[in-house]
Amino acid sequence: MNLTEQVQTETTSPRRRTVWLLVALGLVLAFVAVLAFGLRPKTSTVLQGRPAPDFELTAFNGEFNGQRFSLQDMRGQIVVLNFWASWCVECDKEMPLLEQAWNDYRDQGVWLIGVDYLDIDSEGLAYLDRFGTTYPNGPDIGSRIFQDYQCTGVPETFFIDREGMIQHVQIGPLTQPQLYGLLDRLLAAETEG
Amino acid sequence: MNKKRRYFGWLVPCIILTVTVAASPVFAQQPTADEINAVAKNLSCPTCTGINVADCPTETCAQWRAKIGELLAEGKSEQEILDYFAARYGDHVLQVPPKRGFFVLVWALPVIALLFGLAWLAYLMRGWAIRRAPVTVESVHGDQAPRGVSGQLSDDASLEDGYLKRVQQDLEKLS
Repeated sequence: MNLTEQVQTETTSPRRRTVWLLVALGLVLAFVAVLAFGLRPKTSTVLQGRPAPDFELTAFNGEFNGQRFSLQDMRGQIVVLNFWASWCVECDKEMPLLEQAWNDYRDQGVWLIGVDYLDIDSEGLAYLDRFGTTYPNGPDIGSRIFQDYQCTGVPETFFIDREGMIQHVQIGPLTQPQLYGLLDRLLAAETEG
Repeated sequence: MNKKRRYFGWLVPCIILTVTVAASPVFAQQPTADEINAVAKNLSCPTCTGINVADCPTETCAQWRAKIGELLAEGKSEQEILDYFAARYGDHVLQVPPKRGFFVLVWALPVIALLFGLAWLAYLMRGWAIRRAPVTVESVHGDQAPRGVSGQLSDDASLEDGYLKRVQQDLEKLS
């Protein structure tokens, strides 16, 4: 390499170095952006007022055993989607209430659907038996429904109106006045509409 | 003839009974805790963070270990059991992420980062090599100028030639 070439290399390298630096910086920023997107805080309450994600669930209990339920098929009905698990202590509080609501509201076009999250089927069924639950419940295969509804844990309950919009998201156990109040409000909204 | 018939008359029910008993789940070999834990350590506790199912004291993991025991007793292999849990609860329950879907990134990113790192290192080293390359006298004067032992500009030459001195200074500034 003669001196001219060497001097040229020396004078052009800072420019090339800047380009490389920008490329490297861009890659690092892209990586950080992907990480930030993946780690962004997710909460099911953001779904309130938005269309409910469709789901498919095959019931495993009682008279509904083996029956397939999808939100699309239940369009035009009020749907209460409840996430629970047999290992969830807080779920104990609302299971009898949900069964009571099922008995009180099923004739008015209200469906209660239980989604058994991260559970062993036999344990889940034993749990339902313990509370005498008769409304349809089924396992969340691949935890897909849980993820689609951006749940943070169990119990969580989604109140979906006849148009398939999520009207209320309850994180934690429901109380009877709350449950009945929400169902009455949804039914009243339909009557007014 | 009669003796033979009586003999076979007893033998057949005995064989049937033996086969039935041996095939019964009650007599199936029950897996040990170590065998269960060997599979359970490949699964993540779904309700905690950073703990595998073998080490986790929660109710969920106790249920999962019992299920693993059931599946082992049924003769399922470790991989079949892991596949069952991944299909039933999602890929995120596996301790080692599968090489499919979004999880491919987990495997690919370190390799990509390593390749970029090596390319970057090679680029830097090339820069250093250029900067440290000795300035030979023939670069300026061809074969006429004297050379030092190492081929570097000798002290005598640089002192004698003002032009070379300036070049030397310029090169120092550049580096």
